[in-house]
Amino acid sequence: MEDNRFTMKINDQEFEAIEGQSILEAALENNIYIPGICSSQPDLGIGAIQTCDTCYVDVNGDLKRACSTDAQPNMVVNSVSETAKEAQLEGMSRILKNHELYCTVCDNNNGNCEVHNTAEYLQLDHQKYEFTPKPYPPDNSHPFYRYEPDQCILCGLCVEACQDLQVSEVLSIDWEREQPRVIWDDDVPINESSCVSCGHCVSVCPCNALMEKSMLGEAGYMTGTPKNILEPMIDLTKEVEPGYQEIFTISNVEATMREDRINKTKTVCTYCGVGCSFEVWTKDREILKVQPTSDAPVNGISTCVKGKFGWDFVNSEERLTKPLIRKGDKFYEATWEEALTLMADKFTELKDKEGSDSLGFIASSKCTNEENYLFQKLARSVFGTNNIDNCSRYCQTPASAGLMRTVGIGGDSGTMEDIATSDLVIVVGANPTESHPVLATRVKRAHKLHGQKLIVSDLRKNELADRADLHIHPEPGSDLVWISAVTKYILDQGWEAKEFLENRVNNVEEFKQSLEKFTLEYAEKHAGLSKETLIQTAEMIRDAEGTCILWAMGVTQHMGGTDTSTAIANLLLVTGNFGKPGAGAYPLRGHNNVQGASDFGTMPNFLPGYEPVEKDEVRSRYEQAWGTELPKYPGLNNHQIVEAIMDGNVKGMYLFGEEMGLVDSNINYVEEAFEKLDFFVVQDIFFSKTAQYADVVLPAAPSLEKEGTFTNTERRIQRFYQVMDPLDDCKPDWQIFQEFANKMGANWDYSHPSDIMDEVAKLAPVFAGVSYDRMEGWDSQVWPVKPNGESTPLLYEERFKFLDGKARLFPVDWTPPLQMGEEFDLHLNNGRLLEQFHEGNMTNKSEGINHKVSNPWLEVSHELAKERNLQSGSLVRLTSPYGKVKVRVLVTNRVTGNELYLPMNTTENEKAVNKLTSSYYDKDTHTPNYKETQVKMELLEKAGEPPLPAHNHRFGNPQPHIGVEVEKKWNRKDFTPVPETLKREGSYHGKSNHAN
Amino acid sequence: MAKAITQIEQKRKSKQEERSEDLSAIINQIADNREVIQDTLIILQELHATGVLDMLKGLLRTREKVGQIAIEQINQPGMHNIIKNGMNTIGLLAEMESDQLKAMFSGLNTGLEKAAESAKTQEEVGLWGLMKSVRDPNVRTSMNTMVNFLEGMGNGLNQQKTH
Repeated sequence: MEDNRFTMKINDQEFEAIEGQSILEAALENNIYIPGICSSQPDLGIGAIQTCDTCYVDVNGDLKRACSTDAQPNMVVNSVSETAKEAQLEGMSRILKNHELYCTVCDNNNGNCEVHNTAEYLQLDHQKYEFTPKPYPPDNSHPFYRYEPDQCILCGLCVEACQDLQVSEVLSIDWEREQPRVIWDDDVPINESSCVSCGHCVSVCPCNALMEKSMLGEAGYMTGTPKNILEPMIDLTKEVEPGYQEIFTISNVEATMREDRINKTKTVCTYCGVGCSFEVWTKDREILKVQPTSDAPVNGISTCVKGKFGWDFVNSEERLTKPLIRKGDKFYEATWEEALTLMADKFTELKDKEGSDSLGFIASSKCTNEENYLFQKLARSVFGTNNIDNCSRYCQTPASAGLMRTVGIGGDSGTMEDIATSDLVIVVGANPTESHPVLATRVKRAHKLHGQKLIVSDLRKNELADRADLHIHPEPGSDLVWISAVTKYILDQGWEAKEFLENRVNNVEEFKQSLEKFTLEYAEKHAGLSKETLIQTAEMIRDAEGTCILWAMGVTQHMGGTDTSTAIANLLLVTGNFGKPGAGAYPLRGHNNVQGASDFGTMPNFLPGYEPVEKDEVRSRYEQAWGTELPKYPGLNNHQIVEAIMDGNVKGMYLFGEEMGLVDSNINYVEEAFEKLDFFVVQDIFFSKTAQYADVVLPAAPSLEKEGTFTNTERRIQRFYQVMDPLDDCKPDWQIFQEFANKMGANWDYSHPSDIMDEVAKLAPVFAGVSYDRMEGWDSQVWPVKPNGESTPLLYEERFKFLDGKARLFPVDWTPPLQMGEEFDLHLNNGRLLEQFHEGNMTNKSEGINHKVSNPWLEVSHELAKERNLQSGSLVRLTSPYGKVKVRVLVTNRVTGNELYLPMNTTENEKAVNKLTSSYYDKDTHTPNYKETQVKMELLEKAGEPPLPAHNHRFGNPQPHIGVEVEKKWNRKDFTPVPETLKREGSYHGKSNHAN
Repeated sequence: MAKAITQIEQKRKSKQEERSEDLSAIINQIADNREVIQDTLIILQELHATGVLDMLKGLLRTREKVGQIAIEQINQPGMHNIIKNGMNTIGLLAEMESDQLKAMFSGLNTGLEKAAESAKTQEEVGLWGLMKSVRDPNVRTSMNTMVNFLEGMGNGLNQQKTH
């Protein structure tokens, strides 16, 4: 559909505008500047928030807000006429009544301060309305940011970001009181509110009212000036009042000088799979702040607490800084030369004596694509084994496998854009608000503002479940049953996408027959869901233009994880929800580079780009390029490697960036295996639990200390740049692999990660057009990438990834979940949480995050608490057939009945959920069945300190609004519309009466 | 057969080793910048000899107290006037046409020379003599300029009033 374009004029410049654009949007698109402080973040939620009144323009003699007036054909606009300027200046003067200009000594004077720049543009010279402090002290209660009411211009961008983008609904402006201000919840200190510390409000604040505490007193040359000198200095400036233009000159000089010492480097977040990118502001090694920008392809200005504030680990005292070698029962610091020589000797010895397959290689989904590529090259071409795998085995391999069976590509069908614009989002066994926070904001916003429907299937009433139009609570491990029943019902009713099935899908009849047993009655019995719920679900899918299904560990970490993933893909195929915008299958990747690690070949059966290692044609391509012979048959996966160690078949292991000793299931067993290894190398940034079993520990460099690319859940490859030098003796992982390979005589010569990517692009067809040059700055590429560099954000528009281009419906049956025996009478669910990432090795170095959450807690339902005489703070012991833990209870309505939830955020064995999980696994991919665990519980101590502090956001009291509610401002007695004021002062004789 | 262990024996460089490494790094830098360093030392010697260094040292060590006193002193009505007047004068200079000012200054200069000369000779001039000098075209030009100046200044003053 063509946009409806027409011509209009601003300041005598004629150009084309698009129907639906505001005057301001049309102007900005054509590089005409119109001031507009509250429009500086136009894409948050509802659009124009109309609070700042600095964008008045002259439209045929009438004063109008450019932000909220539609551009019209043949419209003639003047933004620089006497009257327009007068009106803009009036708006600005009102803002400065609320904001003291002490720019040169302000930490926000970094060249990008909207208030400063607008006042300067308007050539504001003197204060028309005297600045008056508000009767509220600054709020410094939150560990990461502060609110200074005296500097707050009440534009409400923070409110808009919190209410309509992050949709945590914490902030609002209380327009009713004498002196309006931003309040948190129902006006409590920030730290006691439901604030999730995502940082949106701080990132969008156009001045210094909301600031990262890490910036205060650090950003400017004079901002660290003691208060007793600073305050008289501000007074002096005001007293002599040389006119603001002179002040701006000085502050601009100072802002320019800051460029010398503040570095702003683009990076990609190293936490979850969403793939947020942003700038890191640093002064030497000190991190001043993380600043997202609307240019970021995935997240725009969005972040979560970890991406915005969770970077203290980089400068942690606990970082590994030197190679360590085990001698007796101690580690000794060593040189790289000593460590690498020892490794080369030991691995060569094992290879020669026990064979290549006596070695195992565990890769890292936290590290870069290039590093994963090099690691599998190391395993395959230097050591001749396919015994290589990465941690997607613990989470997402079943999802990939399910998709490869049905549609051919193990990745998200589209991008976040599709999720955001979908008619219906179904979330199964995932908790995106905590595990993929920024992705969740797009769902919450679409649901709140754009009428998107939401179905959540989860044992817990997590935040999305709470917001959903329909929250389904199936029996644990029964998702396949209800999904299949809904699919069957849709087919029975004739609601399937008939044409789509006929033209684009194979195996339809066989699949229909396989569904025979999945009647509504069967689902009612085994999934515990009513027929009405199932029918309602089917109807919602029928009525939606497009449906996206999002899923994660609640689906995959079961004995039938691959089959349930397959059932999801089947349902989407039957309803025609592939290959069109706003639809598709979205397995939510857990780590920043879970997708990329597998994509780039750290899998036992695949070379990069999911090409089977067994295929001679594929393997010979690599053999030729690498000049070595490669092993033909698939190697062992993570799980099998551990088993093989126990059996004595694997004796040497090299692991990097993976805390296997805590996050694998049944860790008692895993640790026993580690003890059996003859030689074990662990490469990490911290001395992890796993490293304690190592013979050699190598100090690696985290993302901020190197260059590379990560691939997010959308299949989007993004570059990140080096922010600081590696600490001490640390080295980027790719350099370590290269040095080790060369110690083994491999003769690799990569001088930069881009060299590695160039090699991959030549070898793996799906990455053919991937190159660093095409990913400069904020640019990114979504694979498959054609040789000309063209991305494929939406898959399957023309073909599915099979020879005949057609998808395949794949019959699956239900595998009932593991039952550990009647004695273990409580179901134990487990997973991540918002504040701490995974087990917490990185985030727990942040004092602020630990202040909000430092311990795991056991969620217990009110019913169970009553029955077992428990309260929040009670200490209990949980026992499964595999081990036991001791944790404190949190009574909550997020769980019901006999279902418990224990997050995995601990590095202490005593509290680690994987002491309880078993060694059973998904029958198709060997992913552990973490989610099929039952325990028994003993009360050890009735009363005790609650495990979650009272100042955690979960105890807050959100106050939903739609945005900043500017009407309330306009309805205030002391509010006069700007044109009215101008009329009264005689500088404007407009035609119309303004309502506001 | 490796049990989990947590004890790390750090290879501590002795204090002396660390010192000598640091020192050799510094010595290298000095050698690379020999001339700069020598010049700097001479400047420092002079500053020391004149007591400037001593003064600076005191100032820096008491910077917070001194800063406070200084800012208090500056933050006084008199000082405000000085700053304001200074800024106004700078503003005036900025607005003046340099060509005009040049013409005026050159006139002023010649006038001064002439005046100085006449002051030297202490020549008495009678009323008649003054009347006669009005006829002099040079004097007339000067007087005309003065009148125009007065008119412009009055104009400026009146404009200030209406604001």
